[in-house]
Amino acid sequence: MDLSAPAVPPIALFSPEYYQNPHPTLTWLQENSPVHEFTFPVGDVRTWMVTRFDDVKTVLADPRCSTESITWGNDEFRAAGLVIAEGTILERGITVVDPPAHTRLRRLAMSAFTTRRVEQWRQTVHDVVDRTLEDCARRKNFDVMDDYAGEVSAGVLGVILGFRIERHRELVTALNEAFPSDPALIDRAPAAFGRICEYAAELVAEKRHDPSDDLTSALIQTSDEGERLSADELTGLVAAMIMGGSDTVRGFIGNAALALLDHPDQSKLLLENPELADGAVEELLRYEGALSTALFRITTEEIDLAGTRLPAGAPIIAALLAANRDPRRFDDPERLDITRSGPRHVGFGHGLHNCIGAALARLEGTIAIPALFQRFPQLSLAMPRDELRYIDNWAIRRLTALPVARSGMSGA
Amino acid sequence: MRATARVDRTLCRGTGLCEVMDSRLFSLSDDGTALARPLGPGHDPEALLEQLQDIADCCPTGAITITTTDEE
Ligand code: HEM
Ligand code: SF4
Repeated sequence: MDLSAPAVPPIALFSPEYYQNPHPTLTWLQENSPVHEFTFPVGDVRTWMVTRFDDVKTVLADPRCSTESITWGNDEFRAAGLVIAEGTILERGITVVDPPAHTRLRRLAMSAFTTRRVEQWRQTVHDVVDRTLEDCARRKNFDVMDDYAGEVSAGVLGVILGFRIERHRELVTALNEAFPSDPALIDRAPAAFGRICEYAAELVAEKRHDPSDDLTSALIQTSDEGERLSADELTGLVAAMIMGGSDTVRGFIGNAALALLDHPDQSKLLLENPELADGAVEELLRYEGALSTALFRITTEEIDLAGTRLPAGAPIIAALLAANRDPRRFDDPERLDITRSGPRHVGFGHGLHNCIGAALARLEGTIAIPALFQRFPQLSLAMPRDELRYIDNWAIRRLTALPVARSGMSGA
Repeated sequence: MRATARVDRTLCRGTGLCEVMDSRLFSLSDDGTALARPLGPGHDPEALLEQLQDIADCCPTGAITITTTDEE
């Protein structure tokens, strides 16, 4: 055993300073401790973090690194309450089960995301974006996070899942409480999660009775024709889409808007060349995607990871944010270049659990991000740059607020 | 019956899901897109078809198509 002092980055992982700017720590880890053992702050659980692109991909592609922590997590991990959604309908949800249970849920979920259906949502996204921009245009200043990105992400989900319009506002509120910007409000999150599950259950019941041309009805129909999911499983799938597809899109649109405000040459390039939108979205996902890390992976047996031995039951965190800026993989990774081609990013994960909503997220990004700058070409920050704050969350990379002025200094 | 898979490389996004689900049947190439690999003889064709269908259905881009022929 190595008795030398453990490697510790200058700014500790998951410290308040880290949340505001994780990049120096992640770069340090890539250099000095690529398979980094540390103590996870909740419950003092022994944990490993990987930061290099190749190692992140290896972990996400290795069937011995499972998300099914309810089965593979060690006592310490369970005692710390780190098993996701334990005791709720989502504890056996798509994100946290191994095959064959995963295959069954994933087949069904994926069947609803056909190219035809995603294409059909294009108009919906345009409508929601246009409507939201009109609301923003009525004000001199607005907050990109709450007034734009949050409205668009929840609005689009509401429509495509088939929620009645009266539910939309409640959904936005519940999502705000489930993923709070203010850590003091975290107590309310479990109740909000519960409410979202209730809305999902209601929606499934309603659509079973009265199907329509929406994603929920499509899931029910395909389920009836083949896999025959229980009502709870269907509800879990709808809830997983609400949870997985709202705060991520919201966070991403915010991060993308800030990156473009920080790089006026790039936003100008995008405005003048709308055909660059697809590539721009990929680059923005690489540069500052919405998830800092994947969900916990747990080793199902003892494994060797890039030269380090990990015991069975070891929790691993794959740092997507770090992988996407690994200089071993990307040339000049700190540079935002919307014309970049070359290696793919892992902003949507990799392997078995890669994002099922990626096509929808890309659609929303390619419409909502350019539209903001087209509608308000003079858009500028309405707060000193160094006062912007990110939420204190180890997995989600999202601004608490992004106040902007829609017409530069003119005060119009 | 004989089942074969094909990956449309213009659709594939290199998510690696197919390779993780069965590395005998799919592998990621150097450019990051997936390739379907033919299996040698000695496999139960029904089971193989089912496995291929599962993987094709889980692919996020619909890049995998399966064809069956009556030969062998
Ligand atoms: C920019 C927006 C988004 C980002 C950055 C994102 C990112 C990710 C990542 C990194 C994973 C893998 C997590 C892991 O391996 O631990 C994932 C999985 C998932 N995402 Fe997304 N996502 C986004 C939007 C969406 C949308 C719009 C939906 C749904 C409508 C969605 C639903 C899901 C689901 C259900 C999974 C689990 C898939 C499985 O376990 O097989 N996501 N996402
Ligand atoms: S699952 Fe589909 S998109 Fe992913 S690598 Fe395989 S063929 Fe490509």
